[in-house]
Amino acid sequence: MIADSFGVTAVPSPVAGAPTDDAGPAGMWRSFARHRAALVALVVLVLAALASLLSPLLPLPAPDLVNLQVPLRGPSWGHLLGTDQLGRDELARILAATRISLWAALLATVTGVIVGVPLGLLIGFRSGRITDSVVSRAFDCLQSIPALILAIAFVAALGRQLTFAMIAVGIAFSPTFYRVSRAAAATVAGESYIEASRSMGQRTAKVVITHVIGNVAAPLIALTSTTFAFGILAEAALSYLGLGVQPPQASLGTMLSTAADLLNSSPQLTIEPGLMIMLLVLCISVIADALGDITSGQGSA
Amino acid sequence: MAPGNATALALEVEALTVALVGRRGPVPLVTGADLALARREILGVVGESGSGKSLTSLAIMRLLDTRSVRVIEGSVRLFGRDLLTLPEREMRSVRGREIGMIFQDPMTSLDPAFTAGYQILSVLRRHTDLGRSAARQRALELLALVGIGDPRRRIDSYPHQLSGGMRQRVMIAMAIACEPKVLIADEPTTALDATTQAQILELIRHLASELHMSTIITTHDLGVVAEVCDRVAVMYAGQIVEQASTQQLFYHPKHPYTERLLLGLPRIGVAGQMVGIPGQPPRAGSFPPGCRFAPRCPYTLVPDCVESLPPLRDAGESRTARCARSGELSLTGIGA
Repeated sequence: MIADSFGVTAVPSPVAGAPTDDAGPAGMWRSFARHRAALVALVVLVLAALASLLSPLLPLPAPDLVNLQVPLRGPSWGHLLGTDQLGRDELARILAATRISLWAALLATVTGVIVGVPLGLLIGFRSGRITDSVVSRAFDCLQSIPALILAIAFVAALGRQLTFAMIAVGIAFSPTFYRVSRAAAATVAGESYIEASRSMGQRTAKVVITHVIGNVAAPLIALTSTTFAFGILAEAALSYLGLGVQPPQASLGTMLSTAADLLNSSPQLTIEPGLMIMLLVLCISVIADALGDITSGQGSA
Repeated sequence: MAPGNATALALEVEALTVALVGRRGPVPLVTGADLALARREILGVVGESGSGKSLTSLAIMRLLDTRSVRVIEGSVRLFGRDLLTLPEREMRSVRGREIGMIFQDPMTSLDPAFTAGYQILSVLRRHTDLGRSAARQRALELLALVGIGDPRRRIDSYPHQLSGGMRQRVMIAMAIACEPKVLIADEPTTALDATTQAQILELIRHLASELHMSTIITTHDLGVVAEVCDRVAVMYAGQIVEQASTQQLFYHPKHPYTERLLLGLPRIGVAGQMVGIPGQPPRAGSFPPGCRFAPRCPYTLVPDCVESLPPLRDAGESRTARCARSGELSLTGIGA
C-alpha cells in the first residue's frame, strides 16, 4: 500500500492562475499564514523536529538504555509513554527515531532534487529534440522502478545502511523532479520576458538563474514538501522490513516491526510510533497542500 | 537608396535575408530587406502579420532562435559597425546599452516573479557601475521619466499589480535605462487599448527627441505611422515594397499594396469607402517568381509583373518602390 502511493505524486501545475496580491516571499508567507490548518501543522512539525533534535538534552533516559527490571510498562511519571520489552524508555526512543526519520526523508528529498532539478532545468530551457528524448526516456525508465525495489537493490549491493537506502529512494523520486522542472523551464523558456531580458544584454546563464529559477521555484517548493512526506513513509517501510536502520538504533519503522509481535499484550507500543508517523506525514501533507495552493495561484508562468 | 552618406545613418540594414532552416533547406522569410535609419529619425516598418517585420527587428538584435531561424545574407551596421559579425560577447553589450528594444506584449515581456524595480535595476547593473542606492535612484528617475505616477510605490510593484499601459511604460524604462542611441519598438501598442496607445506613442516620440534616439517602430497600424513616424518602410511577404517619407507615402503611394492599405483605412464621413484586399498573402516557401503582390494586385500586367521580381527602384524624392509599373501608374493616396 505504501509502495503503491510512491508513484502517485500531486504535481502542482506550473501554469499561472489568477493573480493574487501576494507575490514574492513576503506575500507568500502572508498567504501561507492565512491557511490556518497549515499554520498549525507547521507549528506541530517544528515542535516535533525541535523535540527530536534536542532530545539528548531533555531529562530522559538514553534511548538505548536497557532496563530489564521494567519491561513493557504502561505510561508512568518515570516513563511518560511507558517502556518496551527491554525496558527502554518509549518516549526517548520515539524522539530519537523521529530524528532519524526526518534526516532520512531529508536525504531522500535532497537526492531527488539534486539528480532531477538541474538536468530538468537545463533540458527544458535549451536542448535539441534528441538530447531531450534521450534524457527524458532515461528518467522514464528510472520511474518504472518502484522506490522500495530500488532501495532493496542498493542495500543488497552496498550493505545494510539507511544512507544507501534513502539515496536509492531519492533517485527513485528524481524523475518527478526532473519532469516538473523540465516542463516549467520549457514554459519559461518560451516566455517573451526571456527574450526581453536577452534584449537588454543579459547573459544566458544569468537569464536562466534569475528568470527560470525564479519562476520554477513555486511548483518545486510544493513538490519538495510532498516528497518529504513520502520520504518519511519510505524510511518507515524500509526499516520495518529490516533494510534501513539496524537494531538497537531506534527508528519508527523498526519500533513498529518489533512491537507488532506484542500487539495483543502491549498495543501501545505499536500505536505510539504509528501515531508519530501519521502526525509527521499529516503535518507535511497539509503544509504541502497549502504551498501548492498558494503557488498555483501565483503568476508562475 | 536612402539619403545621405553612411555617417548620417544610425542604423543601416542591407540585403538582409532571414530564413527558416530545416531539413528541406532554407526557406526565406525575409528577402533582401534594406532599411536606412537616419539619426534622430523615427522610421515606421509597416506590414501585416507574417510580413517579416518582427523577424527583421529580432535579426538586428541578433535575438533569432538560431536553431530554426537564421540570417543567411546581408549586413546590419550600427553607426558603421557591422553587428552581424560581432562576437556574441560584444553583441551583449550592444543590446540594452546601444540599442534598446520594446516588445509587443507588456503582459508577458515583464517577468511576473520580480518587481518592476528589480527588473529595471538588473539592466542598470548589467551596463553601468552604479552602486545600489544610486541605481535605485536612477530607476526612480526612469519611472518618473516614462510618466509613472508615484514611482516610489510603483518601483516595488509586481507586474500583475500594474495596468497594461504602466507595464509598457516600465518596459520602456528598461529599454532606455542606459540611454541607447537606437530604440527598436516591436509593435509597442498592439496589445494596448486605444487611449493608452496614443499615450505610449506620444511617450516614445517625446523620449526619442529628448534622448536623441533614432527609433524604429514596427506596426501593422497605419494610424501609428501617421502619428509618429518621419519615414515609413512597407513590408509585404518578407520584402520591403516601398520606402518613403510619411507624407509622401500617405498622399502619393508608389506601390499598389500601399495604395490598397490606404484604401482599407476607415474615413469619417465617407460611407462605404473601406475596401479590403482580396485573397491572402503568399506563404513563405511558395512565393511567386514575379512580384509577390501580383496575384492580388489590380494593376498586374502580364508578363511584366509575373515573370521576374521587380527590384526596389529609386522612385525620386529620396523614396523607393518595388513595382514594375511604378513609373506609369498614378495611385490614389488619402488626399484624393
